[in-house]
Amino acid sequence: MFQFIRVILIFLLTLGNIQAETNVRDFVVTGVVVNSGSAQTIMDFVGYLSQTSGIRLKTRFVDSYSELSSRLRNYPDSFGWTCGAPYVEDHKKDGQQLISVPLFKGKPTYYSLILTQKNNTGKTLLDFNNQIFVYSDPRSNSGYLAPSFYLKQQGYDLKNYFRIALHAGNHEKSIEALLNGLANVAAVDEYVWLEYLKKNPHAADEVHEIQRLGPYPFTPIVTGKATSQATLTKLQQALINMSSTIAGRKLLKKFSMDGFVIKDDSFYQPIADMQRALN
Amino acid sequence: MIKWISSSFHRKIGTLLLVSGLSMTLVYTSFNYHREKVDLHKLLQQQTQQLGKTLSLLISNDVRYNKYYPLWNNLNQIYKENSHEDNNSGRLFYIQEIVVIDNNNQILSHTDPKNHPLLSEYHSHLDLKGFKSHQSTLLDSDVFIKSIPVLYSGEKLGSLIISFDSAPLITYLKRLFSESIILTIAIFLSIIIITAIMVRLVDTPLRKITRQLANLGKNKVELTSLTQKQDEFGQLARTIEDVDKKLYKDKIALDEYQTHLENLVAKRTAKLESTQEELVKSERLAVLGQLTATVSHELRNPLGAIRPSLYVLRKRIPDADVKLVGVLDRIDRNVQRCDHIVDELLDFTRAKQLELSNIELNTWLRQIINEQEITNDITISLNMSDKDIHLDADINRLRRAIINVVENGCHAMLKEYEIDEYEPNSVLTIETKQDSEFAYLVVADNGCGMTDDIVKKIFVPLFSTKGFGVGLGMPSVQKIIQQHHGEMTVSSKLNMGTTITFKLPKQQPDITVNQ
Repeated sequence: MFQFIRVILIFLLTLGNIQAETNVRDFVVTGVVVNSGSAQTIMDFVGYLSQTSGIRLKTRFVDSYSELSSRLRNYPDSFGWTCGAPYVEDHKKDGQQLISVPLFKGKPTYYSLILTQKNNTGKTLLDFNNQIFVYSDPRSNSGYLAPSFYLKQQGYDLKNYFRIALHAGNHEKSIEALLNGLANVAAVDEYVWLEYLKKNPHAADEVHEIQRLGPYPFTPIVTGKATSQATLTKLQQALINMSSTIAGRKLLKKFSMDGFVIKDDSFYQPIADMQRALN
Repeated sequence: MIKWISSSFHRKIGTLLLVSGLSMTLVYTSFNYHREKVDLHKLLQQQTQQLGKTLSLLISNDVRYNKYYPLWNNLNQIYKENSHEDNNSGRLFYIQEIVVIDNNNQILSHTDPKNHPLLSEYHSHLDLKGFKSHQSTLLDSDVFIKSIPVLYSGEKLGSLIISFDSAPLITYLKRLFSESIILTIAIFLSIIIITAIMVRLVDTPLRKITRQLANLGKNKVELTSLTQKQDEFGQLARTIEDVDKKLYKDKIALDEYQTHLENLVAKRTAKLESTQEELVKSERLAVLGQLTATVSHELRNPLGAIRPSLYVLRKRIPDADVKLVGVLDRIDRNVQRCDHIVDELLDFTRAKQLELSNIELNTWLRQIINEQEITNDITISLNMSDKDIHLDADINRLRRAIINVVENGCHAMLKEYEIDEYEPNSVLTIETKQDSEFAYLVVADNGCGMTDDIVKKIFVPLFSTKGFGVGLGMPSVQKIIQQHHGEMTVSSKLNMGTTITFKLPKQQPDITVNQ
């Protein structure tokens, strides 16, 4: 009798877990993409998507692209807002699926900005040989891949070109490393820098842009390989239709974005090419 | 100053309390301050040591793997949290600067990377921000540097160098110092107040007691406000009041005894004086008696010869003329007068025992007055008592005394320089009265009266204001009255008259009375 009850209980608990996994999905966001002050906007954004798409979503913040990739690998029905470079890798490796690409300044592209202190005389990244370089994440397209590729094109290896290459964790920290004099040069996401300046205008007095690398495909909304096409389409529609709803427009305005568009995987081919060039 | 203090009990007590209180307060606050200072320095050492160890542990992984940004981030986070004073944290320092160096003296991280870039060489003389090499005083900050090894599994990877500023400790010590001063002042003020109260508690009753001590023994000690208290002053006040009452009683008793003694002395003195007077009088009387006896004896013989001779002369000259008769009468009167003088002398000097008989005074007195040949120029006013006065008396002596007083009264009413002419309206009042023990006989005239000096001398033998007589009348009268255990008083006013009162006991003590 007791054995039977135990079996029933175990079954019910297992069913409950399965039910929970099915019903609520993570929407994983890394700080590399957005700045620290936009966490509430991110949660509102995920809430909006959940409401309009009918997919129950829960925001989950992670510290790095590696963690995001790992999350989507382990929970392949999850969604995420990742960077172009990790997407290219994870698409190839884990079957990550592209959902949509944001429109920034009306385009689905952005630049990697080379920033330095205003009192520094360097004009390009090449001028900072044997100095301290700071980047957000080794898997960041704008922070690491783009400058690596640029140096590669000039015949240099980023790892040896600088005295120190500082891994800051996200673009904001890269900017702050410059502001604090910890590093001499940084490669930062254009979108993050502009958002940072809105909140910290005094930063423009100390740090300025000296070079632009790109343009590159913007940071995409993705999902794991387990997400069905129907679900993917639901979220895709919700994203594309954001600009046509009042709530969606408000959120887009907060993000300083113009909307979302559907792109094919090949849209990220330039990044894949850079990765291939750098092995 | 010392003299001024030592001159008052309450000043001494007050000074003692103030000096001891201030000394103890200073010692206590000073000791407390220094102990607190030492404890705070120990705590500072503990806090900085703890922080250093924690930070060293926190960054060891970053140092090992050259994670410069996390290393700087960790350093900066600690620096931001500890680079300013925070009164609520209990932290006694703030960090001026943190440096992490590897074993090759290369800077791995620095809280001031603008001035000290990573992987540049660290110099031990690096001018850390605000560093001062001198020791602090209360007014300065105290900067010191700690070097803590960064270890990973026992291997030294580098060093963590932290520059601390103990300004919060200095601030705390300053506050502590101020509080100690305030505490000292507060305690000192409290001591002053307590001293004032204590001095008042002691001094006020002491002053009251001291003031009242002047009344000790006068039954005037008034310490009611103190006697109701149960403390030592209450006990002292009660004792003083008791002593005061006792002393007062003793003094009263002493005064009474003194009065008694004085009275006794006065009585004795009076008695001595009286005795002496009596002695003098006796001596004088003895001489007088002897003289009188001789003179009386010698005078009686010629007087005895004159009287028969006068009788013979009257017989031989029956038809003598008026002028001769007048001469003979004068001789007769003067012989009688001489007899009278002799009798007076003998009466005064003889101390015969009284021959008492009980008489009714009023009747007996009327009889005597009637027998006297008193001139009609004098009005005799008899005011006898309504009731009979029975009296033990030697009637012969008392008669002589009364007659003597009556004659003196009559003489006092004579016109001046006249021997048989009286002042008009001369009245001689004779009055009797009695009480349960005594009979009173008063003889008063409205004659010339006497001065006080004369009154004082009238009982002195041989003193007389008359041109005739030997001055033994009033002393004899007094002697007779005294022999009757009575008293004689004289009051007189010049030109107004004289009143003489006999106060005689109705019954004579232990003497056989003839009925």
